[in-house]
Amino acid sequence: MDERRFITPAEAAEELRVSTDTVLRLIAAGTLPAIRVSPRIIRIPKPAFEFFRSGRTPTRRKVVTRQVDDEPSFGAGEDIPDREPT
Amino acid sequence: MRLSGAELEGHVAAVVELLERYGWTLGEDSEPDLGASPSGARWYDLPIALSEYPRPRPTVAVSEVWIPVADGAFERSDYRYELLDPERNVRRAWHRHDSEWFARRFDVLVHEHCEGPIGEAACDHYAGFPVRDAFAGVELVMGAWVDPPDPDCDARTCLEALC
Repeated sequence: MDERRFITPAEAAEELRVSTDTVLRLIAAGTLPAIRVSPRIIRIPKPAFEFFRSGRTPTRRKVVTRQVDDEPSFGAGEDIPDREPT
Repeated sequence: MRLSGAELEGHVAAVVELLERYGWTLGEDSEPDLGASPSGARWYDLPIALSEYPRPRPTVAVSEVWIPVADGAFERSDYRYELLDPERNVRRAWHRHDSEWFARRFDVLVHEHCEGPIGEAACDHYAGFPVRDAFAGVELVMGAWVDPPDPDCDARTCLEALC
């Protein structure tokens, strides 16, 4: 399964039968997420492309704030000797 | 960046939305809730998986702590943006936590983790750079998943004197 995990904007354009400029506009608009490796190299993760091609749209989740008893603690397992016991 | 409590809820929703656009989804039975701790901090921890992928699936964690500042606003104090990629046997993480200890010990506020294979780090903490926000964190994690296959941990700067 460890094949290439991304496609290029030109490859995406070919799959979608649109121009590369159109794909770049989708990327610029944030509609199609992509990784900008350098100013000239852009990679579209395959799962992102498949999500876009499926026509699905992300669901805007309702986030609720809930009271909790514990304080948050990141870095479990790291050697940090001065950490207060949680 | 300062956000009100309501804006913070919107921030978490926007992070989840971005992850969905990348094709990654919240774990089953997971809700993107914000925790409000006794100290007044707000925090969230999003366990994300690439659901349409053969097992063992890669997973991502996006977690942040926001502490209260003036006028009911919150500022991000801690974060954890992390990738576990079992297929390539790689872990990459960008962290900010226990800032006082890291400042005292290494004169830094943030650090990174790099493991390949997973669980076998040559260095406990690598030097890193501050990650602007969760959206930049998601992009880092996605970039790490996409490419390259070899994270080249040895090329990174180790903070620990034992390295």
